[in-house]
Amino acid sequence: MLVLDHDRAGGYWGAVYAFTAIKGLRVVIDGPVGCENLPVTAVLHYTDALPPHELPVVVTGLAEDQLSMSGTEGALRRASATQDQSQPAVVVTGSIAEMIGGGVTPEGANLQRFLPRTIDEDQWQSADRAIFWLWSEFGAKKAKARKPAARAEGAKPKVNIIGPIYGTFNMPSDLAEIRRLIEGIGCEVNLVFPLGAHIKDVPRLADAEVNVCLYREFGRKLCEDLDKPYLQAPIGVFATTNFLRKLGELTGVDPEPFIEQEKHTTIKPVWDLWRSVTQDFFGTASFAVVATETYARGLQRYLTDELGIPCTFSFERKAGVKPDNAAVRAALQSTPPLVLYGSYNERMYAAELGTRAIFIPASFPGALIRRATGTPFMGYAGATYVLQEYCNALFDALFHILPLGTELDRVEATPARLPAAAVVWDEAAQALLDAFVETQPFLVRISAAKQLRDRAERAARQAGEVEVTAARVQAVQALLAEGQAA
Amino acid sequence: MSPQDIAQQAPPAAQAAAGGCHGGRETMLEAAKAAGKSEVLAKLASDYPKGPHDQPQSMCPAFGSLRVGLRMRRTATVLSGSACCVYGLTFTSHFYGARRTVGYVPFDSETLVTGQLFEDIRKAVFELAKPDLYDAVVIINLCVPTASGVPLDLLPKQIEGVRIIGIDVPGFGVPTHAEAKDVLAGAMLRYARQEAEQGPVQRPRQAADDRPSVALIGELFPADPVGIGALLAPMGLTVAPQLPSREWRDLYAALDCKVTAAVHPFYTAAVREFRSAGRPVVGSGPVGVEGTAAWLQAIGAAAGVDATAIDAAKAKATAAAAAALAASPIQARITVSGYEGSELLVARLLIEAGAEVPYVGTACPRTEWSEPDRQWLEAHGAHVQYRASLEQDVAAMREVKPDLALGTTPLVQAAKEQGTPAIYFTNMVSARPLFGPAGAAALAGIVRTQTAGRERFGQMVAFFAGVGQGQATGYGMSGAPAKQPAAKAAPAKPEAPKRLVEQSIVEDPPAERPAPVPLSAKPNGAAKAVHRVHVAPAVAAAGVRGG
Ligand code: SF4
Repeated sequence: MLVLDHDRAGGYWGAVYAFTAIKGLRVVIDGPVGCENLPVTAVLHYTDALPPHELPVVVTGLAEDQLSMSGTEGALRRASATQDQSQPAVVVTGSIAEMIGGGVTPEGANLQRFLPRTIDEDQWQSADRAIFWLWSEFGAKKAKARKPAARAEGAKPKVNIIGPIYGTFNMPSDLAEIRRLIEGIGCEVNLVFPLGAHIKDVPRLADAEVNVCLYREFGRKLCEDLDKPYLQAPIGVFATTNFLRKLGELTGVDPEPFIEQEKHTTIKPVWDLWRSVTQDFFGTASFAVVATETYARGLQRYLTDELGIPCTFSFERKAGVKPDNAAVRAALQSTPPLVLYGSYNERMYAAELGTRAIFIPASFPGALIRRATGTPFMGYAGATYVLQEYCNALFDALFHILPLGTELDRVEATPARLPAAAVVWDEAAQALLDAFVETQPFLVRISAAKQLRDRAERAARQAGEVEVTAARVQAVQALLAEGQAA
Repeated sequence: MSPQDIAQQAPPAAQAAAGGCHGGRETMLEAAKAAGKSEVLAKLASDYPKGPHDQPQSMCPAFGSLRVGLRMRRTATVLSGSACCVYGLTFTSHFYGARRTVGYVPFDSETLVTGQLFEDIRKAVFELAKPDLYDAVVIINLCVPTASGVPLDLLPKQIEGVRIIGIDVPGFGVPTHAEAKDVLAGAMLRYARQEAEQGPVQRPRQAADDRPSVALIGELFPADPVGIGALLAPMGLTVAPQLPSREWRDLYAALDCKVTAAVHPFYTAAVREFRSAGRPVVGSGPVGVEGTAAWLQAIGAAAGVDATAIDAAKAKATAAAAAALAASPIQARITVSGYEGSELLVARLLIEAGAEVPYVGTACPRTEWSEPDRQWLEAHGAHVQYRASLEQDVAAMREVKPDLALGTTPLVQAAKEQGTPAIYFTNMVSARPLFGPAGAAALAGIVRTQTAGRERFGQMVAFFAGVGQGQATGYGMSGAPAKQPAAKAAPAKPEAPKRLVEQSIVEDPPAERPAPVPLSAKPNGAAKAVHRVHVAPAVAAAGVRGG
């Protein structure tokens, strides 16, 4: 099997991105320096803008010795000792450490081991387990010991947001929007998990009445285990409305006042654009999408089902399924869309083919920072943002279609027949012109005379004179002669 | 792994040259004494926080090989490794290498154990070896397939005229991505040499002239070979296509050189091939006045050029270099560290331009080809650290408090966090000319731009003090962390009621703020006099550095 431009990492990246997202937990990577450098120092900078050594991650820096002789325990102990010992730590193994059975935690160290299964699972499968592992190791037992308190009179129903971890495309914006929606209808966000939560807070996961799962790729295992109803975060106007109504139903909150308010504010642009002439293009200005299952499905549902925009092709990056990028290339060639949602890969394929599709980033891989929270795809704000950018893409396409003036003008001149203002020739000048014409071969006499006359008159006009003098004719003649010689 | 072991692992040539310098803590102390700087450097050494490991800094080494493959015309590159490695390498090489597809032969624990992986690789190679598209298919074994012994040498040497090059580049065995470039470049050169031995081979597309040529080794800034060509011209020499090559047939032309110049000093395998082809190999590079003169002398001698022509070339080149250096003086204290292999050359040029460079760290090993540079640098007061770890680089930077730190990404982060202007060697220094007059001007330009911003660095540090540290690392917090000691350390000024006047002060452009404190007035200025032992008089006297 030959995979082209692989589009997701192996298991242990997912584990690292999940474990570093929670506060109060150290991460020790068992592997050569490269195993830390790629996911943390290099890629996390280009996707999440994080400086290389900010997160509490260290690497054992395995070399041949540990591989062939000493094993990795000593290296683990040493690497772990450089961190804050008061905090719990989790050891994850990169692929080579996994292969040699590394990651065995030294006795007495406050290190726990997580098996990312990086050789067999992809980053999302492993992240799904890692998020669950945080709950099972640090939360489940303590949560059971606590009495589930009934909601106090007048207290807001609590809702968890499950799934945000580092290295996830556009996550800050989507997270902010989902939080806004939950709070908008009158619920309270109990815990965002794992991003930003503290390891001590994990048992509190049990306190929420409803969970919202941000992604299809990971987070569901935890949602299932929490044994409360959970909803998938929505993409699209009607999908979001359904989401809010369902959430209202589950928590006993009336979502309608908020929905009404949103129609006049956040999603009014959707109504405005729908009534505009730009909507005329929706039926023909196609799009294509290659993104995570969450985004690819969401965009299709919103753009095609809700707005009627044709989709020329869609490929989902699904957890546990290897991508077929040869098929993406072929689709791009046979059914090129006007607007292409995708990753670096699709952008590169489009460039290879020289298609005119307008590219809108919608997925990793690719160096793209989305830490500002104004670019959601999810929720009402996402519906507005996605539609707005789709329309802007149409405008952009038009920009490239319209003729470029400077290119239009690059053709042979067709000068006016009459001079703007008459210029008179003095006698001497006229005599020179006549003499010159006589010297020319009969065949070209007319054009030669015309050329000399036009040039001399133009030069005179440029000099602000109304009369062509003999000196002027001589100068022009000299110039012409020079031009011929050259 | 101890530092000594690294030296033992180094290729024989490197070992021979290493002569006892193992690049560890102990060595630092010895070097410190030898350089007459025992006081400061002993402190430096004792101050080293012991890092998580002793490895030099590097990207995943395989990146070096992958980049060399992707940048070569009519070459397909395929990785055999686990998905985490492949994804990260593809990502970074799409950012730093080329907009070109990276192939990947996946495996799982089953296909690895059953040997199916090799069959899959074989199939992929046959699928890719299309002579109308490619001259070569490169297949790179990463850590796991290397350790499990996936036998790439059993692949056919060529399929329908498409060369098949299989290499092992394990992250646990190749210390840096720089050296991994050599793994692939060396393998290609070896293949090309064997081809050339069997009979006539193609000429380069841009047919070179008949002058004897110098083959440059190292990924150089595109203008550099041209500039070097001009330096060589008075000796009747020209430059051959450089290595790593951009096209297969360029390898033949490189091998056909008169002299090989190991400008980047870590291409041990490539040098071995040049030597097998009978080419003399010269180290160092034409930087600054002294470096240029010495290099031209060595190249001329190796090429058998007569003394008058060598002198003519030297006279012409050094005059231009001296003029360029005089036009772009650098007055700053700078630490240099990186993993590209050109760190020593950059430091030489900086010193010749007037900078004070107390510390040079490189992730690369000590080799005979950087030996002239090491000697020159140490004679000019710089401590040279081979196989430098991050802790060594950071400790040196903290100790000497440079006006500008050139370094790796974590080093840059550490410097900026303490308000020291810093730039990433790979992005900023490697992406500019280094040799001849152009190099002098380019370096001075970056130093000037970034040191001029010192005020801004200080302002940022003051504003963001304590952010991104301790419990507040990363993002996702909904507010300031509950306990934030740094907040106590830098309490917010009690704010007077806002007035327009205040706002206008806030909005003043940085340039209108008080001038930076001259370096001599810094608290460390007097105490660190030892760093200035070899400083050019102009710098020591001036209080204007960094301006
Ligand atoms: S296991 Fe993979 S990422 Fe880690 S050093 Fe080896 S090749 Fe690089």
